[in-house]
Amino acid sequence: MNVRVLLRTSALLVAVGLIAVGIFQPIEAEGRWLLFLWAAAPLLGVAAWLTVPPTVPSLARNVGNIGLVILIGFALLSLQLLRQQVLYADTIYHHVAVAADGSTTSNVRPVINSQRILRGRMFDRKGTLLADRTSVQGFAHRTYPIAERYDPAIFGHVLGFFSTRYGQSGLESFYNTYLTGERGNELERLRERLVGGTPQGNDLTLTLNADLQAAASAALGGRVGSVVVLDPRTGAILALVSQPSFDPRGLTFNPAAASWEAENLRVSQYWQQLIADGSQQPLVNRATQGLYPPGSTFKSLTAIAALEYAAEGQPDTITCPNTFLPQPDAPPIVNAVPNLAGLTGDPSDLERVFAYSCNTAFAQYALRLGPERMSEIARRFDILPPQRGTTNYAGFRELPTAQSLLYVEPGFLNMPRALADTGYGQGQLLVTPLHMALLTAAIGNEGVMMQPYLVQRITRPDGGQITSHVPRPIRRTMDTNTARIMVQHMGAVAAYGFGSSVDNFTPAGVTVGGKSGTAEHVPGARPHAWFIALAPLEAPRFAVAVMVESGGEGSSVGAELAGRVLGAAFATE
Amino acid sequence: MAERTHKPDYLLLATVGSLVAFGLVMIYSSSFVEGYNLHNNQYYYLLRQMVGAAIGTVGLLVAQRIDYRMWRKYSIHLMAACIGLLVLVLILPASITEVNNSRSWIRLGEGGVFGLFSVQPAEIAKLIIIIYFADWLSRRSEKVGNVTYGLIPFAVMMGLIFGLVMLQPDLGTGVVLVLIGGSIYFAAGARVWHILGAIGLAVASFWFLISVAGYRNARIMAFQDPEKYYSTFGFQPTHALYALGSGGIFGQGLGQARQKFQWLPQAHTDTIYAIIGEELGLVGTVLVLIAFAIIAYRGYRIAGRAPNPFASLVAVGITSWITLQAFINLGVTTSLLPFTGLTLPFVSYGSTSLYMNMIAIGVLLNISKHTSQHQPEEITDAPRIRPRPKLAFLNNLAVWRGHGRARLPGFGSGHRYRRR
Repeated sequence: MNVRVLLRTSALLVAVGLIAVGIFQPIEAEGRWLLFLWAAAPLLGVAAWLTVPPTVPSLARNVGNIGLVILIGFALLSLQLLRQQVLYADTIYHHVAVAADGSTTSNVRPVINSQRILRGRMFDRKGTLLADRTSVQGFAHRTYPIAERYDPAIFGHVLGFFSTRYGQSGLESFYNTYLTGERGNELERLRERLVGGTPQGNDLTLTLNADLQAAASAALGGRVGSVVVLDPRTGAILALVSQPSFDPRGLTFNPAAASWEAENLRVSQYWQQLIADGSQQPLVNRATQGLYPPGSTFKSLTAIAALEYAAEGQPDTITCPNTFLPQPDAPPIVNAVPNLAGLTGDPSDLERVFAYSCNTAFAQYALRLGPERMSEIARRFDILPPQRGTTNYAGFRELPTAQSLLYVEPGFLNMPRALADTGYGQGQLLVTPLHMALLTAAIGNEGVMMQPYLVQRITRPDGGQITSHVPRPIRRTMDTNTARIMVQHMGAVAAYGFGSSVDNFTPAGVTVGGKSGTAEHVPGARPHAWFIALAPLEAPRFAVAVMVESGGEGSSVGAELAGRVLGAAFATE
Repeated sequence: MAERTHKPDYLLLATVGSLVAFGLVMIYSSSFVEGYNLHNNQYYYLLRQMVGAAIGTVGLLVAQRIDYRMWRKYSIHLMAACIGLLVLVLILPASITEVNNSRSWIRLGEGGVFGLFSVQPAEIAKLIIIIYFADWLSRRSEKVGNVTYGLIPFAVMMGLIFGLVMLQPDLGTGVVLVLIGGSIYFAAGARVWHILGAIGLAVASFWFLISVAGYRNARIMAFQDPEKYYSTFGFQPTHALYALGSGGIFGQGLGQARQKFQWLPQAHTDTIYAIIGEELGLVGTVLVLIAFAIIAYRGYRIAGRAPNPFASLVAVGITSWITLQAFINLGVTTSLLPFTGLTLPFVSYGSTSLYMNMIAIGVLLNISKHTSQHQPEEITDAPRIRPRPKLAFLNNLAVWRGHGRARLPGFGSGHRYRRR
């Protein structure tokens, strides 16, 4: 009899243990839970069978045994219901199933709920309404009132699209919980839950200047590239243009359409058009996700390194030979312009080799400093070696942003030629336009790099403020003095160096500084045109980075574009 | 004592009645979208089910008045008719019989009055094999454990019916038929090793079947990983899961399910439980589960107290049929079992299934009139005060007239005790 009790207790314990462990398996491991559950079933049967005192075999006893099997089956059902309707109900509700061919399925309920919510509006820094919403027979419709003045595609990458079929991007995605009202307005949600009503989201006020954004986009014209304008003092993003772009209206379902089928077809056709081969990837935000070699604009970082480590770098003891051979077994480094020493003088100083963008001089600085110091300075600007970098840049999360890299292959900088190339902005450098704007802004803000941001304020529908962005420094990247010297050197570029056309479009009396970049990416192809600029130099209010893919010379194409953007920045301020 | 009858099991009757009424509500809720889309009539499925419920109610009332011993007399005739019907469904032109690639129905027309009525011979077969096997096994109580006289004839008969159903093909119904037969055979006193051997053989042949019929193999795989096979066979489990998860504890409210809007296939038949889960939440699903648990409890209790082995085996068969089919349906909906098409007794759409279930309950109720009130070990010599049954109030409900004799409400139990 004792053996029976022991067996019964142990079978019961094992079964309960299996179920207890299994029921908390995540919903993805459903197979494991079912295995545990079915393994527990015969154990429960044994336990129950041992509980009933043995009697002579009879029809009634057989019937009892069948009933026992049914009872255990119902117990399994109850456990499965407990798991699916209580423990993991919320997870299942939001679960997105991914099929083998990559297609996904989600619950239709949250999708329909999202269509009912009046998403929050988005304003620019001057209060211009960028994105609005209307209600059509209970269905919310995202509209873009800015279309009356500018093409909404100009704002596509920043605002993002909102599609019930293709999801969200940009700020629509990052601030989704605020825009739906899920966060920031919990009391109101509770009230709606109890007494009903149309849920209304919270409004965003951006740092963007819609007029500047439109002017920057116009200056870029039809070219592929990007423009970033920051306020160096705060890190506020005033303009962020990436072309080609997409029209968020194209992906927004309009419930007022006469035929919903035709409307769905229009949306899916526009999507197919966006993702088609040869469409130049309009869904990629080049300003934050585009990784390019920065070309000579990176010389500003090498210059900062030489100034910070003046003993090793010796910034004002430099020459600008026509060729420089850092490694005997590698081809020599040459300047973009022959006989540059005629312009820089020989011996020269940092200001002149910076203004005339002398490759051989910056190759020498890099070699003098060595890989550790170069890496250390780059790290201050969050330009990281691949081992330390993550896929996304942690300093700016509002839009999908790539991490800028100092090099790609580990150990790359240990080769003298590679280090020298990195010194003047080639090598394996991969930098986003936003990151070059951050570097420029840090120079303009006396060496303190501010965290970039796009959303200034989030307000409730009744106008109450939920959060407001307080400017936050990322870190001090250089000495104040270094920053002042760098500002002067950038001024020299505009005054007499390569890229002096940058101040052609700014109001008279405004001093402008900058640095051009002509980045080679594929041998034989037209180089990428870069330009970084700061203005006014006495107290910089604008830090600009422009980049035109395969645009040509940075000192001409880049400088003109940056100049126009700066001009617009002053005009629309 | 066997000649004296008493009142039928009212709790069982009340449970079944509630389930049928609840089923009609849920059928309308889960089928109006599909009815409107396919037939331009949101009441399309509800009307047909109401016809089934009407036939079923009449059938139940008639069956509970027919003495269960009558079925025994005609068990061979019924079996012959059943095999005839199962063959007929395979011979008749596909236009009459075929729905969803299964030749399971005999339909008398698409529209009009006859369109409201169709017959599914396999559903009728379930009740008939119960009667047949109960009769057959109770006649040879000594020989049930014998291979030559017990197991082999039983297996041959079972195999014939199963084979005919599999030719339609309808795996779900086939499995239920085997389970019904198996439970009667077990209750009749089969040797345990016979049962184990049969289970082994069944598993082997099941494996053979699913590897021959490719689509069921895919269903097994979809059961293991519904998302991977989403576009083909994982579709139904995935959306059933969404329905149950969305329902949560209290549900979204009656009529508020979303998965029935052409997301969840067969929302009004095989997966109606998922819609119950989405609309009424855990409260609704557990109540349905409890209802079937009550049926199981009362059904097996009737079987245990039945006056003779035939009655007992019929009761076992009917109870096992309803509860096992419910278990498989609920198990499939909650992804506990691989996907197979089976209806939820009394609740799912399917008029033949509904009225055959109700007729079977009628037979069970008739047997409940003949049960002995106490099991032998409960009887003592001491004077005994009979406790008033907890659910005695059901006796006072005016829905049932007993044997047509007038009853005095309130004194029912004591009065009855003295009379015996």
